[in-house]
Amino acid sequence: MKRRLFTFKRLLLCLVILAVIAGCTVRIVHLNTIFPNTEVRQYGLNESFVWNDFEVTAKGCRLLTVPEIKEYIEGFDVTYVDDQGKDMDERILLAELEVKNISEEETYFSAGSCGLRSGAYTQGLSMDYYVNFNSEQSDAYYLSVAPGESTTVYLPYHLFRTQFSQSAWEKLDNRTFEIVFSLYPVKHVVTLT
Amino acid sequence: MCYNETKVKWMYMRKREVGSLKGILRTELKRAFHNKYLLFALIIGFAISVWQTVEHVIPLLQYQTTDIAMLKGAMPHTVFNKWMGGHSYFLQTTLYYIIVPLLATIPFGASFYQDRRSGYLKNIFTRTDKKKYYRSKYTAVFLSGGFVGVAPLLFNFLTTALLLPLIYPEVTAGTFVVHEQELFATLYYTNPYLYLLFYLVMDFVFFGILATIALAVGQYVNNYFVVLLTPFLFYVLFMFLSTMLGFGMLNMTAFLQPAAGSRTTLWAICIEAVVLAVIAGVLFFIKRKEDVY
Repeated sequence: MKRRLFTFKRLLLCLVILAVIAGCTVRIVHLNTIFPNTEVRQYGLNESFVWNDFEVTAKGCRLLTVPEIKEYIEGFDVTYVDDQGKDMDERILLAELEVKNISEEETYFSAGSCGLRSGAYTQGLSMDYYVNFNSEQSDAYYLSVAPGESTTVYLPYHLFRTQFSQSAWEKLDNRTFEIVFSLYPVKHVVTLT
Repeated sequence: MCYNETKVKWMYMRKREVGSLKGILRTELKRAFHNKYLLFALIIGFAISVWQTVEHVIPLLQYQTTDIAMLKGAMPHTVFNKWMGGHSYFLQTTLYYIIVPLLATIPFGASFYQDRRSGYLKNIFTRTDKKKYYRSKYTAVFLSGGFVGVAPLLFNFLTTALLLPLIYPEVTAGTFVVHEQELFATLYYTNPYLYLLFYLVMDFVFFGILATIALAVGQYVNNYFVVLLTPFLFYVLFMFLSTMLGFGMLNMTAFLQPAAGSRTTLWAICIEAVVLAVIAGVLFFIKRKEDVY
């Protein structure tokens, strides 16, 4: 009798454990059906895609050194210094985009939401440089584009040596950089290099 | 405190296994995993895990919308940056990774000291080979330490997965804290499950090794609390010294956390694990020859 009760208790425990496991599995599957993994859409240079009422085409990309930047922007002299006051090694990744407003009303192009990534490295848009590189625009911060019109936007990203290992910094020119536009549920990724 | 040696005795051994390595190992594993101290350590670990979920995960549910259009391209909260190991800024994560050597030692770390002090060793050595007992003890302590350290982390990941989706991390989202120059950072974004598995295995090994430090100390010291606290004190001292002397890459408190931003290398971790295991192992096994009854 005692043995039977013991077996019954064990069986009951097993059933409870199985029920808990089944319940958890159902919950996890249900949750991940509502929020599926991100759908990644990958594009290359000169490939167009639609993002936030704009047809976006990446036209080119360059990795500039500080002297090259100064050549690009006359009289521009921004120097970043580290904690000890020394100049930081820096490069600028400059992406050239052509954006066309395909909606029927004037729309703002939100360049600030375009993030740069390369492996586990990420960098946001450098606003100092952004205004300078897009000085032809009347208001680069709030870049508005009329319906049906297209314009060229330069997206500069500031890369610092301290953000990379020595070997990674030396191989920067061979590295693959991407710009990520929206994050979820569809991720638009443009491979630049 | 004792490990109920009167109850355990040889009850778990089959007749033909008495004295064999398998039989002793079976007994030691039963003693390690069927004791109230293991339960106590697990309860503390699970309590921290539940605390983290209640404080950092459950409040996020009020912002969770089933209408994906409402997100406007932003990423919903995901398990990978909200579970206990997904962010080093959670108080619970810091607390857990500070006290984990203590939790790993509580269940069975001081059992050798207990066996030695209570005379249980004499009984064992009259029946079986010392080598087998020592090996079994080392294995049982290592496994119980690793299990107690990793189980609350796994539990926390699973409970978080019940509440938040398993969407892969995206570095440009700015809400994930694994970055360039950190160990296997790219793997975190391409295959977070593999990354997680690597860290759980590594944590298991280190927590197991830390528990075995108590074994080694138990050979030389005659105070239960010193035996129990030595792995913890060593861990904390090592954390301070490695950071102060500029060897941050060897700081276990940092590199054992999946998202603590430790700039370490696989080589440094492997060498540290081997050195610690060898020192603890040698100190434990070398005294074996002196145990004559």
